[in-house]
Amino acid sequence: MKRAAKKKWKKIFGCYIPILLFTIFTIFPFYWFLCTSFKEESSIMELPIRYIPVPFTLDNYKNMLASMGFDRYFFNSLFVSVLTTVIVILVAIWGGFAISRYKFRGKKFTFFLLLITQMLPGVVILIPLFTVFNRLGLINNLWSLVITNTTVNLPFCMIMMSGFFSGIPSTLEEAAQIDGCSIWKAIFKIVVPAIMPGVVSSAAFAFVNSWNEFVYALNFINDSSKFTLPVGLSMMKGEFTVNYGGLAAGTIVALIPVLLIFCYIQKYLVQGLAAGAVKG
Amino acid sequence: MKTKKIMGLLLAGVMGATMLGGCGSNDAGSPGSGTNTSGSEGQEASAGEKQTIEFWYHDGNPTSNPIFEELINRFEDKYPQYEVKYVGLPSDSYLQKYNTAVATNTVPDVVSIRDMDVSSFVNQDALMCLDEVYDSFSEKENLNQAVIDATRMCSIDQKLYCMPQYITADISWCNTQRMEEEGIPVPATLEEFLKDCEEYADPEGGKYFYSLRGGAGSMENLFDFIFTYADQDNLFDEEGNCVLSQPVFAEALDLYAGIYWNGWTSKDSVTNGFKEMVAEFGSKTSMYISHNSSSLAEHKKNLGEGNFANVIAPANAQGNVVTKNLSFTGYSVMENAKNKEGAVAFIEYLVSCEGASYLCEQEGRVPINNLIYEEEWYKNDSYNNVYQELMEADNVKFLTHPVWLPQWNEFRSKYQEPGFQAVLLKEKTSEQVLQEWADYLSAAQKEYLEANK
Repeated sequence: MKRAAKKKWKKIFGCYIPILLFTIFTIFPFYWFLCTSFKEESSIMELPIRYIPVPFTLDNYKNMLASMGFDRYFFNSLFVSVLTTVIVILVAIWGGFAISRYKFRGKKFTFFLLLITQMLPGVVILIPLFTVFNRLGLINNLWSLVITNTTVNLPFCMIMMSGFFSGIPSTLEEAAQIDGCSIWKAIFKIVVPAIMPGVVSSAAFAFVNSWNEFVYALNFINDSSKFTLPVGLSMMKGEFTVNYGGLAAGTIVALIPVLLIFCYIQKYLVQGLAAGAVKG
Repeated sequence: MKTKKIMGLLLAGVMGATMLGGCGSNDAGSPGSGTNTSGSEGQEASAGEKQTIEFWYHDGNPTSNPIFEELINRFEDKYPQYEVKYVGLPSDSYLQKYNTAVATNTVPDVVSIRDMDVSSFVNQDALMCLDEVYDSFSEKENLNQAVIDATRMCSIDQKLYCMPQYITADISWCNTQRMEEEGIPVPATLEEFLKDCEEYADPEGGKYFYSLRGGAGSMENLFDFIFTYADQDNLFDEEGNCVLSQPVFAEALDLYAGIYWNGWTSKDSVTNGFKEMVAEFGSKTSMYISHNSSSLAEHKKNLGEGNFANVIAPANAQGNVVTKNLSFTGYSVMENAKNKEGAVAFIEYLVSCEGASYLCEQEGRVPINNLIYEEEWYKNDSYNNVYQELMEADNVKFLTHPVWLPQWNEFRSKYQEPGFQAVLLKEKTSEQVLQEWADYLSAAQKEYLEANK
């Protein structure tokens, strides 16, 4: 009995309390943003600090949509991020499979090149990319952001995907081919479901990166109605004014898709690779 | 299976809608666009003979965007041949966009510009000389001559590359409500100011008299304090040597940093930028800050009209106040602008009494066009009376910051700000830091003088 009680307390202090503290520590900034987004402008700066938004208001959300056009920024961001993710995942599956399964001349060098691209800061390629897009007539066009974000995210996703493919025995798709599958079918019907956690984490990586991308979105777009959310959010902080309520409301809106995505994909993220590989 | 199909259809629907939404370019009603054109790059609008003027504003925010939309509407009513495409930019990254546009030759027609940025763009040959525009401008005589001169100082050739619209005056803001409650008079001298800082600091209760700015943008407050203490209003002597290495400045810097060392201001002050300092003032953590005229809107929002006031900074033992020369914000026409004629018409409108008055009234800016001084709103504005007093007072001397030096922005971010923080954290002495600053600025000024011989 004594031993059981000791074990219980050990679990509480060694596990539950640290987890609880960590959760509070992680959640609190989000709560603070949420709380600020529902506060009236005059009560945001008030001391003592109010942890409950009283009086409660939705004005920050209304103003954000009415005066700053956040609905537009939101759809622009969604357009860029969804398309980027889809393209990145499709190409990364093919590219990752090729790197993992085939031997070809210059394979190591290709892999090295893919790694190198991850070491360049985005600003370095800003001017050359701008010049290219300008000549193609893509400046001030959301497709320039889709192409850039795809280019920036693809190498890493491809490397990730090749790692996941390498974890699956090639006999799996060979068996499928013996049973009459084409190589494409074998990849998409047999191998990809087996590495679904990898596909999902690569997609999440590409989506979140595109969703948060700022530098290219600021420089490639010259029309306020085509700005993306990060650019719109940064305008909440003026040279001599800060709209804390609007900033908090904008951040909450910007967080929603990312949160929804992570809620939906977390089951894939925790799924084991082996479990996928033996599924019938 | 059925659920999967429904999910698939839903996802396809969402994607389709998103793509349509993203590809569509209906600007109507989109805030900050300022026009109904759909991002056309040319000068000709599809509907008629209207010429497009592309205008980038460096501080697009929920307050300024509607003001410019209104100004643009008025301009377009007055000049129906033009259509202005307005792009408000984030204030902390507009320079990157300007620089990218200059580097790739994709500049707009008109940009708003601050005094500290003029020199670097002039050095890149990015701005059109506006001397002729100024000479033929009908309200030329009404623009404050001192500000025009300061604008000319921004370039080596002393030509005018920017038409200034408003200034920001360095000023002190005090929470009159709290000060009256506690019976604290506004400090008139540096001695009284330091005494108040000491007497009304309550670190345990988290309340202070003063919020010191130790982070980004700390230079203005620091220089105002040490130059007032030293009673000097020139950063350089005639030979181009920076005066900061004189012992009196080290003495002054020690006094100023003492506010932090002695705990008379919050511990966070070492990294306080504009928003942190104004937040401390707005949350009544402190009752006195040094800032400029542009934070009025924030104080109104945080403290409420009537609970605060702007006052002239404390004077030195000789009764003098030294403060930063009036820094301006104005508009420039880009050298490679597609529509120079329209651009000139637009900036003339913006700096005219009609344009500048509306903006200054709405945003609480200090106008430089003296026709505005006759307008009712200006006369009834108590804050403007203080700026007027500041500009006319005999005991106020203006210290010109060398915005003409191309190295000036680098000096601020790489030398002055980290140096001051090192003094606050006692990593370096005031003498060491001031010597470093003096050496850097002397070298830059001599290089400038040499090039300008």
